[in-house]
Amino acid sequence: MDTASSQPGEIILALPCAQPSLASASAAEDDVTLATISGLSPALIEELWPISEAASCGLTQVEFSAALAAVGAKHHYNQPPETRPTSDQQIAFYRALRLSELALAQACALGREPAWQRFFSLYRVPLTQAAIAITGSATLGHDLADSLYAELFGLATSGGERRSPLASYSGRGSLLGWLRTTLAQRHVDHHRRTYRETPLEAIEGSEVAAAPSALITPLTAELDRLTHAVASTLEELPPQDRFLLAAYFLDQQTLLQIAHLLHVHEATVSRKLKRITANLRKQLLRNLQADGLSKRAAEEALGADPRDLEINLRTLLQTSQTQPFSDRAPQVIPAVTNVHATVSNQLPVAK
Amino acid sequence: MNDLFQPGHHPDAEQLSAFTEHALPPHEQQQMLTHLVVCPDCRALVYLAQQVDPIEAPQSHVASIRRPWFSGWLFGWGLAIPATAIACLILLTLYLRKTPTPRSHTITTTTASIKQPQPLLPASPSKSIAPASPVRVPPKSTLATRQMKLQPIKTEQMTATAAPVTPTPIAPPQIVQEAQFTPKTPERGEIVQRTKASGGSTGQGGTSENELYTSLPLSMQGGPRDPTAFQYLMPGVQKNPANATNQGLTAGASGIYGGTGQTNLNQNYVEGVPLSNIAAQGGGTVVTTTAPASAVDALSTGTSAAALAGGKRPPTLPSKLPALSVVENTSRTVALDSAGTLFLSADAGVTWLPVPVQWQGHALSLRLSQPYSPVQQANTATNAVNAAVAMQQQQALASQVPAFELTTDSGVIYTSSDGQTWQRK
Repeated sequence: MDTASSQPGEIILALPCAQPSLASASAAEDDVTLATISGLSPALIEELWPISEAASCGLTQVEFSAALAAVGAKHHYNQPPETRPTSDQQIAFYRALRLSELALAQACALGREPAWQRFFSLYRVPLTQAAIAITGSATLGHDLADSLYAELFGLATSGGERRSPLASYSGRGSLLGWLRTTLAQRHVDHHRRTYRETPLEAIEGSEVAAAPSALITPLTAELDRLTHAVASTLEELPPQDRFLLAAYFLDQQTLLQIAHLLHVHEATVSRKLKRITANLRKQLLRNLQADGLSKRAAEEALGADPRDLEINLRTLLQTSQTQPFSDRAPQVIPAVTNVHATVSNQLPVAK
Repeated sequence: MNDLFQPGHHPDAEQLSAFTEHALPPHEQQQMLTHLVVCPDCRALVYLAQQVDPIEAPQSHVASIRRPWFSGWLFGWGLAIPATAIACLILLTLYLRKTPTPRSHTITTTTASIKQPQPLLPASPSKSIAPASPVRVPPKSTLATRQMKLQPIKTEQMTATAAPVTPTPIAPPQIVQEAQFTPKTPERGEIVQRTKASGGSTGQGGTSENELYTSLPLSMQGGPRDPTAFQYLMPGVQKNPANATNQGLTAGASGIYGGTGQTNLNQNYVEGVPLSNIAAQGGGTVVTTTAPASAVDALSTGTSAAALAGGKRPPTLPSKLPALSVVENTSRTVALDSAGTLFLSADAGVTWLPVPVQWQGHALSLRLSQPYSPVQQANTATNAVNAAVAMQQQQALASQVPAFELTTDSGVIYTSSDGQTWQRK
């Protein structure tokens, strides 16, 4: 299965749409059709229609309203699954969408020529730039962007029907952000395919070099106790704190990159990291004492030379008791990469 | 088959992009964070999607955004402001250097030399003069600037307190800038600069005009000007606060420096602190008073010209006041402090004894009597019977010690040969 296909919430416009005869129907019939198909009130559609500029993209009002209804149903109007969204919440959801970009994406997915012309005029240059930035090479970036164009145009067919990944765009974020993320996905796909084609000797050589260090260190009782304490301490952290630790200590992201990602100031990230590591050490001491160690022994355990320890911190940090997106997919425990991270490099409490 | 993005397993591109743009609802944001913690692949995707800076931009785009080098903000207003400031600074510096700062050496008139002004400063302006302690004299190469507030009515009060002096051809000191509203007299000299300051913060809303003259007025309020009337305008002179208030001037914020600490002394105190500042003025119009380097010379000469000319330190008088005049003959030294008290020293200024007042009025200055003129003595001896006797008298007169002369504020001169006993001339 390809990445571009079968996204979970891909909007399927199973309409007798795109028929010019609809546009020539009477206004009363149109209103009835819109209300019947989309469930949206005609007043709301009349309000959102000029904002979307969908007409300039070759999209009809029926197609636009159907797309809106599909997006609302897909994301449950941004409400938790257990709640029933009210009409006000639905209207607020529709008004918060990026309507013009949604209309453009839907029109492109339907293969409308004006929409594609507009798409190229708006996104050709930024998409190429993003591809170059992701790949780190102008040549690879151009190749990546060109391959995405072909995919977006809907060269892949499913059951004889042309399908475009643009149909999965919902309009909650920007279309350019969606394109960047899609580019990143395609780049990772390409990297993985290339990685799988790498000769076996090259992969084994790198792993063999790291393997002995994990084998020669025997797990003593004290190390078991410390590993258990670290795991339990990390599990108690909220998701955002764990994400900060993972992004900073495991992924080696800078404070600025994390700040851009979380939409906070760089200093805020620094303060949070400092607070998290301080609290983590205190909690680790408490957990060690709860395991039967005295305070002095717990401090001595934390003061052990990190080079003598070998804890798979990545495994400990990335193991979660909660399952994300459990409401949409069967619970599958993600495979944890077998990367050994030493405490001296990545365990903040050991510093 | 791609094992990374199975439906339902990982968030799709729309969710990831909405997360990076902070467009997800709170519950989905938490779900996304929870997933990102355990999924390094999705974290990598998020990091990759964040990389928006191209390493190598397409050539067409670069050409489309290329602009002339001078059209940017940096070369527009960004550099215009500092460039304008630098240009103004250079013009101001050039203007100040071109401003005429005449240096006159007839400043002994502050000591009320009536008959014949004699220069007490060395002729060469390059000769260094040690400042009178505790005077902190600004460098001569630069204009000393002070700030003070002058208002019309206060200026009138100031001029009313000037003591009457007999009209003498006093050569005025150097440039002193005064406030407007002081009546301009023909004797004041040529106006070399006129500046205006409008506004005022105390609600007066008036406009003050400053004029820069080449010399001080010779007469004030129908009488001769007090030679020390404008001494406080010179840099480094601190007016006694109490006295300044009596004269209608705004007292300085700083206290008396080098004085006795008493008030109502009618003295000028020398220090390096400005006379007044804006805060002490209550927000009125501030007038900048500028004096050239020659005014500093005048100040120094007025205090202890003889000592300064001789390279000596000014004497420390028992009154602890600065010496206005110090005169020395072959055996004795007489000094007049700023309070008008006369002191006599017979050991070259080591010990000082006060001289009882034997004159009427306020002593203003000291000087030595005119040197003996052999020509005049020869003329007076033409009627002498014996020319040899006349020559002996000439020798005796020539060997006579110069007498001291004291001038009071009324212009009367008193003479003394020993500095102890004074007689009206």
